[in-house]
Amino acid sequence: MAVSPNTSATLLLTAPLLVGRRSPAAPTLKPAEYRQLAIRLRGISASPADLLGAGSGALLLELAALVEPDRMEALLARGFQLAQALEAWETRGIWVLGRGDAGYPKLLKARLRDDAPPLLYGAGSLSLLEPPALAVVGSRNLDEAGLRFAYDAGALAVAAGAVVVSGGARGADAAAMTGAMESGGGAVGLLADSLARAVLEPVLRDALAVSRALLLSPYDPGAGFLVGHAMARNKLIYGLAQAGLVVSTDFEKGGTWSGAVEQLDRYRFVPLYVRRDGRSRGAEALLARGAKVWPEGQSADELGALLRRTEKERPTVEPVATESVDAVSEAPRQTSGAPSLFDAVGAEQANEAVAEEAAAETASPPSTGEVELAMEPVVVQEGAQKEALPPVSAKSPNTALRDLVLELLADGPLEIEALVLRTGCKKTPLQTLLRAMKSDEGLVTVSKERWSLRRELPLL
Amino acid sequence: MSYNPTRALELLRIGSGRPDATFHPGQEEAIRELLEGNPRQLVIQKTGWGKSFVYFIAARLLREAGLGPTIIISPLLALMRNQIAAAKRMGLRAITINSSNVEEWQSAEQAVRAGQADVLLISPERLANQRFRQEVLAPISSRIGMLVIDEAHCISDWGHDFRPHYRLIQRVIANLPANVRVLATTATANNRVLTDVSEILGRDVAVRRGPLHRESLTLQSIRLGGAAERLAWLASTLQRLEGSGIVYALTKRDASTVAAWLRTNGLSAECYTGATGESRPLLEQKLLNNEVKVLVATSALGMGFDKPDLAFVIHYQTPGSVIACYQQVGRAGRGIKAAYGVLLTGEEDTEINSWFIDNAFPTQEEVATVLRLLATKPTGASVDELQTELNMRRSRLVKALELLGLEAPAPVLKDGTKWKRTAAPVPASFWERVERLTALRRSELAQMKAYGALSFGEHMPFLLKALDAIDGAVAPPALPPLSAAVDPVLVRGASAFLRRTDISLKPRAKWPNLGLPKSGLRGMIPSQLRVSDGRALAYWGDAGWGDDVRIGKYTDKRFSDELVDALVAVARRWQPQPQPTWVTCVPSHRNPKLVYDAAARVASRLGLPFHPVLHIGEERPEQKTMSNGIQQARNVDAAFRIAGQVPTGPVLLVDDVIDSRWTTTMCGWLLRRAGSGEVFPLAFATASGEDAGNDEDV
Repeated sequence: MAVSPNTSATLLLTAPLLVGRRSPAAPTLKPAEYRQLAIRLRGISASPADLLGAGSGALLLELAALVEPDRMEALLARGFQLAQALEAWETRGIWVLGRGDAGYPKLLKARLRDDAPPLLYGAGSLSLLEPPALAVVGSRNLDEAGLRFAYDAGALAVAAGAVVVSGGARGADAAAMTGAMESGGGAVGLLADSLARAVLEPVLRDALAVSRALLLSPYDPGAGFLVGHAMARNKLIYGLAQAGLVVSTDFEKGGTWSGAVEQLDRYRFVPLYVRRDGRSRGAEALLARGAKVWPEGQSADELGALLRRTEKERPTVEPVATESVDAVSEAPRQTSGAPSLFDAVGAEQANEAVAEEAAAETASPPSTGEVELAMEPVVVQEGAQKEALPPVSAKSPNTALRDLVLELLADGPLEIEALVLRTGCKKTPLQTLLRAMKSDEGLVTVSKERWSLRRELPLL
Repeated sequence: MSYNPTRALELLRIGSGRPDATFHPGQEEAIRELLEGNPRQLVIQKTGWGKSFVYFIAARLLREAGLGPTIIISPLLALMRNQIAAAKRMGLRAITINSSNVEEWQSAEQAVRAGQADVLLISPERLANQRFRQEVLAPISSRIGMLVIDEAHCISDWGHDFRPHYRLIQRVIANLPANVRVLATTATANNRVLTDVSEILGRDVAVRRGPLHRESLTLQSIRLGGAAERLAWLASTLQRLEGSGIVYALTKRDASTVAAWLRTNGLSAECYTGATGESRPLLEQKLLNNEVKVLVATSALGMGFDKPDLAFVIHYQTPGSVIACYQQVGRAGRGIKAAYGVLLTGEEDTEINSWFIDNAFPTQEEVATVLRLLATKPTGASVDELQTELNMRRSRLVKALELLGLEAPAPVLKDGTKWKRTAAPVPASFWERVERLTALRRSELAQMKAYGALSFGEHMPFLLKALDAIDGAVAPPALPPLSAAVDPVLVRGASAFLRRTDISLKPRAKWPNLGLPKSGLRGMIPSQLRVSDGRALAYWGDAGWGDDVRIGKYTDKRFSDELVDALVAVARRWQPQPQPTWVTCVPSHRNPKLVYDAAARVASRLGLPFHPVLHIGEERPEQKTMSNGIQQARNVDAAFRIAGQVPTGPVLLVDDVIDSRWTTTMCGWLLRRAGSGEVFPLAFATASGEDAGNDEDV
């Protein structure tokens, strides 16, 4: 199953394509850079695949204001590496979907739009995305009662005709997924790392073999664990579900907490339920911020009704589902700005936004940071998304800046000056953010004035 | 990038060493297109046309334009020495990594990682090797200028010579983005293969196909039933033929027998097979320099061997397919006016070819057994570990694992040193492919039988038609047919020769992997407790004595005096040093008299005392029911004991049929530990069914 030409080009431009420990680090495009590029390509009626064709030289010059042609050429010259990586993934039963590919989860595109990962690596049956889904999240270190609760929640979801979506980590994730799979149902694992290893793990392997599991990850199948990646995938877990259930969480720290807060405050994809045992400070705090109590002794029918109710409400976001920035690879190309690429309501504003953005780019070649920071106002201008994305609150950090910092640090440690340069953000707020990320979230560490991502052992 | 014709011609002249050289039709077009036009090219040209100039010149021009190195994938790199020399003359830093230069791997890999290669030549097996991909290819994979696939017909499921690792190459190519330059070359592709390969390379691939006819070749087929007749014909015909050439045999054993026979007839003949090892380049050079009359070879002497004045190619047995036949005879007469390509057909051809066909793939049962076992190993299992639990020959086990591992998604895969079961089932297409290829091979064999029955003058048109060649009418052969007559005296001589091919048996130096738990033995066998070199009278079931041994063992339950005399003659010719002073034998529970009786007679003919000091410790199943070395070794683990006084002198250890050598190794170890001198195994036959590559008997 060869990938589509557009996905092929997206992989060349954005993916690390790990084919071995000695895989050379490539100057891959950051999500924000790729986003700009995709917008510009569409503006000139081109698709990423055109970068691989005969007229690519002229196209690279047209894009020179966004990305240096030399850098683009170096990325596009990785064709052999790409083929090797795809081959190795295929052997393990791993495939890749671009946002323009037919199999790409529609719900993710509808809800996350530009923030939907340009690539999803996966293994298993995509048909598990069809039934309604309950997202189950929680700590990795969980007591017996918590594990039992998660396992039962998984089983209940299956009895309700749903699947479980979780993060594939040990603790709550593993218990909920196992509960679903052992009840004869399906589980979707959204992994932050090590997909290539996960497919060989006996429990998942056996579930994959009988179409009871679907593993998805926005990160290279060979990539190891990074706290930032684990954090960033929370929105994808909720993004694939009709309701969320927090089994346990720390208070104001940890991935479960920040993912839940992000969900309550910013994304609001799903109603969020919390297991209440009266002792957990984190759970009480989430309830205070708008989460609901998970009803004790809920029947399968009741859960089913709840999930279907949310699913019915989905059409409010569904129309946005059509691809906004990426070229739809297999569909015939429409003229620029054709309505079919956008929903009827948002089309005009979105096109304007794109045009503005493009104009801004031409005026001043951006550094990575400026592009990323420019994102927020643009998104807010889009009518359909206005309410879904409230301004960043004082309590939760500037998520866009935070994501960008995580991305930059993913390539290696950096001094604060380098971060200032590359984010375009002033030093003082950046320092505040970094300190918060260090002490509150445990995402980063600092040593000899160089900031780096905190690394942990892979979960599976 | 733009193509510079002046520079290209200059490179051709430097590379070929001929200042007046010009491009063959099609060569320059392919280079130009690769560089500035269509990056996908398929070149189908007969061997010797100069495909290597296309890819080396293109590689050099790409390098001069600042692009990355070229990777060339070819199954027979060992034979590309001439071409590599040409590349070096063009200023290309060419690095080869293949099975024939293992000792150079480390430095070669270092050079590749350091970016010191302009051209990297690797075998398909290397490309499939996990460590190689991760450690050596990964550092350079981000900037490969061009990929060259030699023997590209192998990437087709319809290709005649199925090479499992081309399955992986097929997928790599299918996954290459459109901007990667790919040059695929082959000498032979019929229409079906051509269509298949073109589809894998992408619909826009440019196909350049040249003619296949070789005017200089006179082809002929001669039916001579028995091995003795064919040996006799070879001995007399080769005396008369001018120049030097190649005789092709189907198995290593036949190649070695034919070479030995020709030498006893005063011809300078050498054996060249996959087992020849390090002396292969030397033998090739000898043939190139006409310092040897004939190389008797298996298909290991294959594509890429280029000797313009090769005067003849003779098939001692029928090759498996028309394409193999064409490629092998096509090596003759490239640079001379006339050459012979003769096929001798015999009685055993069909049997050997059918064996190759029937054993090419694992059975459904073998696959099911391996998968079932592997699924119970949460952390995977090594081949050795699997062998201890599976009664399956190692080579078949490895073959099953490798074939399954080359599927996508793969039902099993190698993770470090361990094989693991994955979520993937064995796809129906796997067995469909097995069936299709088996059927294809049978029809190819039938086609070769038809070729063998053709009249003089019909052979070349037959081959060209079978290969869907674009050639027009073909002129009649330039040379007269060779006589099919054989000299009866030579036939009798060959017959006697076939009955005295003493076979040397190498001792084992180490206990099986994972050791022998009952005796607590593992690792190296101390040299003072090993057996010495041994001898066998015949190969089990072979022409010559082989059948007599079988009749003695199973029908008569006694080895005839004639056989015992022959075995004694082996020992006399052999003269092991230090001279044995006594004789003993391997004990048997099932047939206690057979070997005991024969050993006693051997001892009395040699005038040595017979001391049957070895006894059965506990009853075990017959060794031949154990299918792999580890199982056989464990089957003799603590199976024997010593009783009585063991003399201190060197001893002849007599056995009926030596298979894995574990029985003699264990008996020898017991004898030496009990104080005997050197132990020399002597057997009526060797089944040599041991794992050491017996399946790939070429």
